[in-house]
Amino acid sequence: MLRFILGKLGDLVPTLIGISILSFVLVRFVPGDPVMLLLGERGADPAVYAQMKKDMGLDLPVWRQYINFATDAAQGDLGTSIISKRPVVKEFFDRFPATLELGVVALLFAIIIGIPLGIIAAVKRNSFYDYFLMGGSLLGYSMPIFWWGLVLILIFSVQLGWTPVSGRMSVMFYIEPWTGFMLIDTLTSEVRELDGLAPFWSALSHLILPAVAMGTIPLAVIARMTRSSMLEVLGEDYIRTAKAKGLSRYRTVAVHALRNALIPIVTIVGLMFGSIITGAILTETIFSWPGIGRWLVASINARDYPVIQGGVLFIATMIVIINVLVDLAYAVVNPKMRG
Amino acid sequence: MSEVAMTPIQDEHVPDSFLREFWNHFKPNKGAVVGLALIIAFVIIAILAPLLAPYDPTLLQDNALRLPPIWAEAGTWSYPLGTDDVGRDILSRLIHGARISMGIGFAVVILSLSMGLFLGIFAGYYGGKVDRLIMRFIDIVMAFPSILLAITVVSVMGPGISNAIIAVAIVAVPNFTRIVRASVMAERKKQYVMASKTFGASDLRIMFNEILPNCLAPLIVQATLGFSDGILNAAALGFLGLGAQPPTPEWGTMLADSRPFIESSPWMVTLPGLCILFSVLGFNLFGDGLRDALDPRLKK
Amino acid sequence: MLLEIEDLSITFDTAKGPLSATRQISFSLEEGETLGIVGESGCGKSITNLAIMGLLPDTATITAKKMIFDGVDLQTIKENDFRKIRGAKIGMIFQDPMSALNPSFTVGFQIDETLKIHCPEMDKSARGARALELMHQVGIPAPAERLKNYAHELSGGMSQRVMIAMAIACKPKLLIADEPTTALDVTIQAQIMKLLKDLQKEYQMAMILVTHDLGVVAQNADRIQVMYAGEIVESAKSKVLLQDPKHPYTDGLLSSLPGKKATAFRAPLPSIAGMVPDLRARPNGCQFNPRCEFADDKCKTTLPSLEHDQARTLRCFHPVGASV
Repeated sequence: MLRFILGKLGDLVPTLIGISILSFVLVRFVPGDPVMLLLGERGADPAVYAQMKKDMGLDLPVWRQYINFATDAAQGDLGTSIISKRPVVKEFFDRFPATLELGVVALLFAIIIGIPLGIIAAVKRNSFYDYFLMGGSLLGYSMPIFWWGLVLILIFSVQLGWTPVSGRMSVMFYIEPWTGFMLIDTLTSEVRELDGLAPFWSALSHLILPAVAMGTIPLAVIARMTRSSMLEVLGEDYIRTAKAKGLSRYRTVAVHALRNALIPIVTIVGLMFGSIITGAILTETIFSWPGIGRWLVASINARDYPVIQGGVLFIATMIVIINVLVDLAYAVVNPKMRG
Repeated sequence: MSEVAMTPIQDEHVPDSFLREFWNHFKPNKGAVVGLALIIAFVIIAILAPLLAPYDPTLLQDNALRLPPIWAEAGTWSYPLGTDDVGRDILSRLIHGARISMGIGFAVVILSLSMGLFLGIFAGYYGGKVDRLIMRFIDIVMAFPSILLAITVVSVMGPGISNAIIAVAIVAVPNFTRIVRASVMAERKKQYVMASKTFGASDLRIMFNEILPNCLAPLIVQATLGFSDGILNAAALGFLGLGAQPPTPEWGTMLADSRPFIESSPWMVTLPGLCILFSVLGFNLFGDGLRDALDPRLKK
Repeated sequence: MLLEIEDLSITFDTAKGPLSATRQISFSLEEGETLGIVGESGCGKSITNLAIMGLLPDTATITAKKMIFDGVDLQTIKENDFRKIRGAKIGMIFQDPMSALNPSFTVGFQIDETLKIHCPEMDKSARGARALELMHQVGIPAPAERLKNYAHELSGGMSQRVMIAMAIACKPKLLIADEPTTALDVTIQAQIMKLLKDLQKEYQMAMILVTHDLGVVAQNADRIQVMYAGEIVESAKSKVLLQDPKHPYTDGLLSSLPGKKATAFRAPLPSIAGMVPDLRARPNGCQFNPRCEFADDKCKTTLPSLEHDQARTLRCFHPVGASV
């Protein structure tokens, strides 16, 4: 087991190096001269140009630039945003909690609804319910997420007026950031003394549409995977044994089948993280959600290269690490791999 | 008149031609047939776009700003699906959008399939260092969420349809590579490969003439699903302003343009999205049906 | 009479039409008796067992004149009550023990579960003691440690012992063993069969022993029932059947066993030509007629009925040894 863990971690290193190279290389392909971009007219003066080039570290050979980039990154320095002049890492962590909160809620939504739906579809195989559910799931992951978000806004915010159109919190309330998670921060005693539970409900109502939009594709995938995993398990010999022992239908499915069916689902949920990030980029744009997705898109449009580079590197690294964690979790959950 | 009832001798089941057996498995899957119908419909619309569209999709008509579609009160038959904020006919734009989306999907699949095929065959056939190198590269590319990678590539290369196609194709390569590699690895151990080697066939010849035809089934399924991913990703890029640029009537770009009018002219938002939905749905339904029809066939 | 089955017929509703899996199965079992059921794959022996347990899928239609176990009518019993019988009064063990145990739970958990459900009067420590006792009874060394194992950590023989422990946990009156030794090594087979016989004696259980291996039933069954294509073709006390088989199929089966009949040294073992019929396209008349050397026109058109006499039950127009 220990060997397995070390092996996975060891495997991580070349991948991380590769990611950093790719991030670095991608941005270096920028057409045009970044020095000139920054200087504009002043760049006509050779001395000013040379100085700026030196300041930006672009006078060094490319491989040298990469080493600097990689070592800086390993120490947590991802450069400075051209637009805001603040360190990329700081900008990132300012906005990350918003995306994380949204992502976690979306994933919970997908799991809590997706798994039971998948189980029911498997148990009632080939019934109308099954076809309906699987058809719905197909629809779910055929939808463009950015359109779905807009449709949700159209129905629930514009037509019905139930939820706000955008943002994370009503401008009426100021919430002191503590954990960075609105659902927690709005429940602190200071906030409740001042405004009661109103900020909490506001946070919730802002959260609900983007979370549903973001969670729809994972929900569709999880429901499908649960169904097929469950079907496979229900055909196994030990289910026949369970019935022969006189176990109730409920116990056979909920205890014996489910425990085994969920094992591959663990892997799927981990993979959904990548889907969440993808969704974040598009969903945050639509809902004006102050997370890293919206920030990245804005930076791309503004050609803020340190941000793009740093952001991409960070996200890719997170995903790779999460994949390793998922592999480890799978090994723990699957008894056949222990010992 | 005597009728001799002849009971034909029940032979062993003679297998039909591949196509007929395939169709027998495929037909009962109604979803898949619907998917195929959708695909054919969109392809026809794409090909005949200039003939089908009543107006030029970029024609600005100041006198017909933001007209609602035919089912609303103010709708007219001259503009059955309404007009947008600068007076362009939405139906015509959607029809031309089909041409663009189908074209993008096609280009993406061709590009990513060839690249993935190439990488996958070499990785699967040679194994060892070549395999590890290629798979490491694939793992790295897969560490980037598809949109993120596409966005980064496009942001670097500049926005536009061709760059969007390249970006989306790059993102799709790993899936093809993995599938081809898995198939090749399974086939490589089989007898006919050994036999070919003893006849002195070169590696390349074995790879492409012998192994490849046996890997086609999962590849075709992935190509179909790659089409739907391609359309979605390209539309996402268009939505973010990084793909097809206005006034090109790409569905994603149309969605982005319509955002400010979500309250006043909601059809501008719903219609392009529905087009994306149905085209992607068509490919997904068909791809699923293909997968089901081809799999048991392979096991026989 | 512990178990009485009369005229049991099972039909499956398949995509290609109805499939008659068993026809007119009738047999009975006394307490403590061992009935061996033999036949080739697909002859319906396992399906009959599942029907007795009530474990057939919804696509199966069961019709019978009588299906009575220990005074309970299995055809009208409510599912809730049936569940109380399953695992408690009737125990069942299956062919492949490794896949018949849930891989995600320990062996101890699965034994404890059976006890918890069927013996609610036992508390946790009582169940633990009984589990240890059972493991000991089935001959598993170091039972306390083994209870913490998972199925994949045990050998085939050990797993089957665990299955047996689970099946007898509540002292059932009937044990159905469906090919219990087929998946095991030959050396283990004998051990498991001996274990089953010993347990049977101790718990006074009746046993239905299903197998395609004549050697196993020869040594362990009081009566042997031969099935072919979903029907009973011959049934008699073991000694009688083995020494004096009357149905051509039984005769053929016995002849193909080395040493059973006098064959010339190095002469090829006789085998029965032909194949089991497709149950969707059954032949007319006697189901065995296409492969029978004694078959005549009557056999090809009329299904022989099951005849009972003192010594045996037989379904045949031309029993072996009778004058043509």
